[in-house]
Amino acid sequence: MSGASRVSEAELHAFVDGQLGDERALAVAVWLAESPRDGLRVDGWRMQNDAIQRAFPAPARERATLAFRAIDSDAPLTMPSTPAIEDYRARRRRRRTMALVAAFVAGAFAASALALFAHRMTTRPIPSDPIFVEVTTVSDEFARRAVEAWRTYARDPARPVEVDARDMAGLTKWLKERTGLAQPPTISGARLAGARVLPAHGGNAAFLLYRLASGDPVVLLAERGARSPGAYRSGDVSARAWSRDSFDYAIAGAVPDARLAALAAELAGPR
Amino acid sequence: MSEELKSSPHSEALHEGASELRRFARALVGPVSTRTADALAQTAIVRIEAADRLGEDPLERAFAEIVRLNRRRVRERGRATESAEISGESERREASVANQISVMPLDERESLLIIALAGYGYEAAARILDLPVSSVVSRLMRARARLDGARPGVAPRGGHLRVVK
Repeated sequence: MSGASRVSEAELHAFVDGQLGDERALAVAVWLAESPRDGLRVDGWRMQNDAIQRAFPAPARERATLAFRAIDSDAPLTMPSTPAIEDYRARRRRRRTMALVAAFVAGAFAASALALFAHRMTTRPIPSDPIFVEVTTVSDEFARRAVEAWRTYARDPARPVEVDARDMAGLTKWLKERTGLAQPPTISGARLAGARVLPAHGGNAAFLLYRLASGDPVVLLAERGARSPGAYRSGDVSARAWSRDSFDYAIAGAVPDARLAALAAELAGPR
Repeated sequence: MSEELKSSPHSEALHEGASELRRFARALVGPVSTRTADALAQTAIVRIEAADRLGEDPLERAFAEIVRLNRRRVRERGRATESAEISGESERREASVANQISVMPLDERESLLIIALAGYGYEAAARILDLPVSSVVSRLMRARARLDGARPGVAPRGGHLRVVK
């Protein structure tokens, strides 16, 4: 070990974590080449880091829709005393099996439980300084799908729509049969270019492509449902969602927020 | 109902980092309480989103908020030393990395996860954890030594600990 200056324990950790300057990192590398025992430990910490990354996979990028309070909640948020993953998974599997059987029994109690919950939610005050803030559950998922649909089809130069709006009667009939949408909404200052049918949860969604006077494409997604209003933005494309007459609508486009809001207000307003 | 459009760079950064925030919160809270962890992350996002401070990294502040909320949760529920709750059966069973981390003392777990999982450097980790860099590093070293202890054939080196920046 004659060629390397001694390094501290903390420097070995800093080396693993990329926290050393070039000069010191080189010195540590030389040290490790001459000190197999420390080299083994450094390799071990790197393996730890890799194992930690693998042990905690990133959740799917859905928006969390959480609306509960830790304080004053009847549902305790504490962990079981034995936080063993395998135990937990085994219990979860058993619970799922039991849940299928219990579902029939639970149905009888569901209505009364719901009524009790509604009563408590309306009569109990929100804590002044809760650990978890009360978050309004907003359905951004549908708005996100509209943004994705816009990205996928709206700027497709070859075939942005399946059925062209020049055959309006045929388009209306085709859409109604597949999605239940009685009539493609009209947007003042915009021209309907055509439509697609997209798969949706439990049915089909109508994809309607409009072109504004500026030439900008905007997409209106419509499917049966009654979600809460929502909004979503990804890069320069944003969307707003609302419900009306048992249909969920989301309008998406790469247009200024104010313009999109005006379009949404027009479509959501009285017809 | 809120219809606020997540449009500012501040909100955009939080939205882009939401998955990482939830991942960190889940690791911090432990494997059996995903709902609590998600609530911590969501609460942190909402709070930081509501307070757009010029010149500050919103994602870093959201990580710090998760740490702060979790400390408060642990304090109020009296679970500061979750390692004391390991049963004999658990000790005998070969533990996964996630399991070992979940039963670590909270201060060590925080330092390990913010660096090894969230990927922050020591100085940013110190800001997030509201600790001196020296404390972060010593806690990180203890956490790794604890994990080393479960790995056969790796013995810690003797000698004092010196802190580097």
